[in-house]
Amino acid sequence: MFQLNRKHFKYFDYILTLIVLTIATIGIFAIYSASFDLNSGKFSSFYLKQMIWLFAGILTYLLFTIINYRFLVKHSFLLYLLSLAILLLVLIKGHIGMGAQRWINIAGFRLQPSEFIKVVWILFLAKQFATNKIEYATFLDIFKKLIYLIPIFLLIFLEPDLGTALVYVYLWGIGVLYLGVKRYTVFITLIIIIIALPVGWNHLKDYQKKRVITFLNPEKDPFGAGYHVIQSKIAIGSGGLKGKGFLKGTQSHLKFLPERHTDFIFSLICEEFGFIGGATLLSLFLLLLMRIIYIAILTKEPSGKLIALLTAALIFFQTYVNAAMTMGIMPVVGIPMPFVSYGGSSLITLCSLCGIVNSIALRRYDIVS
Amino acid sequence: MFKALSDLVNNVYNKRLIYFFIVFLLFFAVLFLRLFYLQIVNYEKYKLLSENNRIRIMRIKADRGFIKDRYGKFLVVNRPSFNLLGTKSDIKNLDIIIQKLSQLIDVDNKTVKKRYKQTYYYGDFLIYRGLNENQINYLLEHHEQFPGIKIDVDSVREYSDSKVLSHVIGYMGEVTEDDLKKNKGYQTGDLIGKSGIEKVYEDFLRGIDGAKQVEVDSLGFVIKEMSVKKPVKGSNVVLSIDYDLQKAINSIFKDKVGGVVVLNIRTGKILALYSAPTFDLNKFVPFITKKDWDSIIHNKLKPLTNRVIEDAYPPGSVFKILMSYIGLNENVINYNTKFFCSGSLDFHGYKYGCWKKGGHGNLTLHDAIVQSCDVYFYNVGLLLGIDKISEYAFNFGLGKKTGIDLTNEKDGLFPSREWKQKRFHAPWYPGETIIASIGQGYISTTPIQIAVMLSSLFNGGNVFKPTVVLGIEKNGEEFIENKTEIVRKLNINNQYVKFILNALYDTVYSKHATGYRARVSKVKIGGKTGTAQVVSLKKFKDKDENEIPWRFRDHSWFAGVVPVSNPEYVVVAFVEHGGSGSKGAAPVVGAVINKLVDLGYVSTK
Repeated sequence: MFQLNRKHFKYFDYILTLIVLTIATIGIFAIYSASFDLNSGKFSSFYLKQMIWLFAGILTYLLFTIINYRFLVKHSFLLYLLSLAILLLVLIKGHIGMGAQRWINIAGFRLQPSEFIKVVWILFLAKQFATNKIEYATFLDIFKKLIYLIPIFLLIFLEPDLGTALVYVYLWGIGVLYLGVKRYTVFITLIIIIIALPVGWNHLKDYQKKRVITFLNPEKDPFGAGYHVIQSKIAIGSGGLKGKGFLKGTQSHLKFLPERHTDFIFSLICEEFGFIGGATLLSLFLLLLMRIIYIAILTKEPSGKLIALLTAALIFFQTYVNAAMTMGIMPVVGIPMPFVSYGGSSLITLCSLCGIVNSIALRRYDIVS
Repeated sequence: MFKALSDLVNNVYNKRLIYFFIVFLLFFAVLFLRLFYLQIVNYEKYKLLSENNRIRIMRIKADRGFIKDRYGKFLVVNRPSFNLLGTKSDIKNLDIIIQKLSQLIDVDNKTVKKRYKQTYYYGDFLIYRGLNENQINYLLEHHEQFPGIKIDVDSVREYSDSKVLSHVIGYMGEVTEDDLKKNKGYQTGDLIGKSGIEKVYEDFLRGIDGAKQVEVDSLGFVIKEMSVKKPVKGSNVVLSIDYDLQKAINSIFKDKVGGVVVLNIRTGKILALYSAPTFDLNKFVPFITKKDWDSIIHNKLKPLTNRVIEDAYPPGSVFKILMSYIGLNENVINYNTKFFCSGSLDFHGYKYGCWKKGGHGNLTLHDAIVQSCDVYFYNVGLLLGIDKISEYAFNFGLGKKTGIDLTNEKDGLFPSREWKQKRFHAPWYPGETIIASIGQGYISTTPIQIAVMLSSLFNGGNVFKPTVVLGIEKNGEEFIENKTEIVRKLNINNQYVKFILNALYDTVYSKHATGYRARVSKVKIGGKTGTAQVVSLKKFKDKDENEIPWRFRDHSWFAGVVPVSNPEYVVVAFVEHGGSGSKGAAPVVGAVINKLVDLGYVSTK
């Protein structure tokens, strides 16, 4: 399971580790600022909790670095079945909050399994899509791979958590694309999607429909989500080039921004640190993606390549959707910014994945049979 | 599966990885461009908007729905009230403002500060409700002395009659912190229904608030309206209550304490529901002063209590109606079964007395009902046993909330063997069955339960969840009927019911009738008296009822049914310390039925 020797430490990826730590540290500062209430002059304890989460995140990162990722891939089918069981348990016995059943209470902690199970999903996809020859996925191939997607998608969709369920579909899709598809396959897939769209639409909850409509036509809801986006855009825009300075973001501190420590943390960063700050943070994410893809290229082992790619794809997706949402070019969906937004589940999940990527880097020259 | 890729294959996959990265890069380019556009290109625009927090959302409060009686008479409408508001972000020093204002109006410092704290940054909070003309004029003339303060029109309730329907309509009050936490769109200082229809039908009455998005200048004045969402007025609630009947009951009741309910036994709709003493709803408009509130809640007669649904008392002999039915239905007696009443029943050495000391002699069930003989029903009770009695009582809804659409309904109590074991850890004694047989002992029921029990017996077995609302008038036009729910359907033997109704008729009209004071000339009614002991009256046994102190006198019940040949309505009256049922409550029911006839509810043919 561990299989460590001195050679491995030589390949410990300090650059990957450093980028992750930098982004997470920016997150702590931003949450510290978001915790500050200008009216009362007091701080709430979000940033302290986040520091504890980050500490746990670092430990997870190291743990997964030490574990041989091949061991995990080998047992990923078992992990997949276990995940299905947990998700089923959530549906039956989960904690009900805000009209959805996504959480489960374990030893006083409220956990969202669909978040952690992303790790299993990536490992499992890596096993399913790994191949040692050049392949192009045919329709039959895609159909076969769908068998694994459907149960996990349905279980999360029923919570209901369409957003997270779609992340699972997205990762699966990246896997298919990585495998390679012929042009006509893409074409037919598009046609199927277009036909399926109205059917899918009818199965959406009212609030989900409303979100899409709001995005397509913001005028429709200027008092709900539309309002948040307007305030977020003001916060970002008023930051200018250099920003208003740390702890000086008037817009964010005066409670104009809801969820400013979670979904709208990027607005706060852009308000207080301006274009320089915002662009730096985005560049760091880009660097991170670059590093992970670089590790994918270095390793010659197919499942390792896939894990790294899917991890990059996940980080890309969350960063893009979150930032785009705060800037008003995507609908408002509750997707946190990786490593930055307040919240333990997301941080631990991403640290585990990056740890696994580091584990791939460590073992890239291992002789494999 | 962990075989390394050959260099050729590796190259193909690495190429694909690079394509993926290029796609990521392209998407990120959009983010950088957008960031540049917002922060560099449009910086001036957003800076200005942010400096004065110039985009605000202001609420447009929905007008509250009206309340009407069954004929569409407006019982509750709205009238404007002028309120003083403060805008949180525009007020620099709240203490100074409050100090200045308190020379003009009676500002509650603590409450205002609490509301200020609960308000969103640029939101408005209530400082004072119900300004008079002089105060408005003064504030308008000196408005520059009060930065951040504004006068706003809000609506408050206006009652066509603020007293006779108070318990049904209910009063309004300010939202509590609990209401705010539930976050249904209320803001601090809002009014919300606190009791009665106002509370139960709050969600219909309140409507949907609108909003407008505005741009304001640095002083907080609106310079541009950006978009408006119109409010939706609350729905009107149409009661099944007849205001004229209700008003008549108020004058019939005079200074008595107690309650009356008139229930249509076929529909489950309540025609009148009166509780005395009542209270003045106008005292709550625009808000209740501490002095008024104290005088209401410290009043020993508890005017806020709706005695028809919140007060439970032993039903006394009224219960004998149900006992007769149980006895017949369980075949322990028949129409001709006779028992001898010597004035008391001896049971294991204990004496259980009849109200008539001299005894009734030998009598049948019919005569036992008419003369309300206790000993007869002691015998029936002993033959039935408590298990059967409480099973029936439960099915007819006694000792349990009826589910009426009003607030604070109480359960009351109907005992059973299990209940006693749980409550006192003691077995049930037959002596307790004897007492229960005449509606005394542990039994306590609300007047509405008695009305529902009788209606289920007389309407063929439908146990209704009674309601005081006919329906909801949406947008002033569409009428949504409030259908009455049937809680339980019972199998009723109509032969027995006919027999009982005949006895109830004689209870009012025959020679020895105990309910003769309820007599109505124009229509034939049936009824039964009930007397609930407050204290054992041995101490006063030689005294005339009028000499006994009020608070020691018996409670008085009367349950009437009309027309007795084919029942449509039950009228239950309960008079606290009204003495015997015959004296206290019977004349009330008689007078109410007379009014029912006058209003055309009961045909005199």
